[in-house]
Amino acid sequence: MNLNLPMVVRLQGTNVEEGRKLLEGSNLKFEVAEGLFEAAQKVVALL
Amino acid sequence: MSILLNEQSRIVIQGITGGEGSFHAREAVAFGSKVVAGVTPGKGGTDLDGIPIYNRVIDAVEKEGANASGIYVPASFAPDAILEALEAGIKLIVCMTEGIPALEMVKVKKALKGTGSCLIGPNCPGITTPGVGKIGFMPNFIHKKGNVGVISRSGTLTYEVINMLTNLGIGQSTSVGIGGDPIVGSSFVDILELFEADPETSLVAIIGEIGGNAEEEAAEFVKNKMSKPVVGFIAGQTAPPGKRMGHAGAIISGGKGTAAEKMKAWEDAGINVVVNPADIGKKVVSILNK
Repeated sequence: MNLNLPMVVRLQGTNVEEGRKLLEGSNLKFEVAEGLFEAAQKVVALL
Repeated sequence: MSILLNEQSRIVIQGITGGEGSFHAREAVAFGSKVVAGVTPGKGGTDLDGIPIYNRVIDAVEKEGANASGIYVPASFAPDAILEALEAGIKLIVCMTEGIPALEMVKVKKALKGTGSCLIGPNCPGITTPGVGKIGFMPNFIHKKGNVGVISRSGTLTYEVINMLTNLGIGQSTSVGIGGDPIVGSSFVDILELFEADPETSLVAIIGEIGGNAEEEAAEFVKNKMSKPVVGFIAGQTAPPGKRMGHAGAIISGGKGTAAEKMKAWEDAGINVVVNPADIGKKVVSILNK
């Protein structure tokens, strides 16, 4: 996948651990946030 | 005894052989729910991990004593699935399906009247009572047994709030997603009434959203009938009028149903309204510690 736009990921839910591992191994560039508010702040900071 | 789901609940999963039905039936069993049967027309006589499958809901009632149902069938079959559960005498019917036409729901609501059966949803994440079980698709690992009741029109925000509470060490009595459609089986008021009467619930967290007047009705109820503290959040504060925001029922129409109006109605009713969803947990803690 050719990803040029900055991306913030905040992942939660069923099988979240497996999901996180897939994301970590994807070699895609993104920022990870823990909570909703933190995710919003990271998005704003990237703009 | 907890509201809606309790130790006597014997669950039948309608649509248990489908992808969603089988996945969430297994998740429910892993959570400790008493799933006694599944129903898929034409697949009667088979089983899912030993859970017997029948062709009709009435068979699950007569042979396995089912008294609660979780519906995971496509929208075109879901209204009939609800009616079938109703006719079989199921008392608690939870329909997760999104996309049921409003006119079909009008007919279902009419059929429900006076039966004593309770419909939760459609277009909802279901019900979870920690320590008892769940019907629906809220993630298993977020819950913790406790005394906060959670009600929401939004699925995702329901588990956001539950997760937030659990991370702060606060458990839930029962969490109910009432659904995001314009016509749903149970309203905020129906569930608030149950929580108000429930000795295991000491505070209610309620998540509303734009569109319709369910929040205004909830405000009226909280103001006049509720003794327990309520913490509330309204989703859609930045939603433009006339645009449907994700849920079929989440639309500001004719200038009515904005987040600002609803937040005002809730504040006037004495509900502790938070502006940022990330603050719901902290607000609950501050009230419980008073």
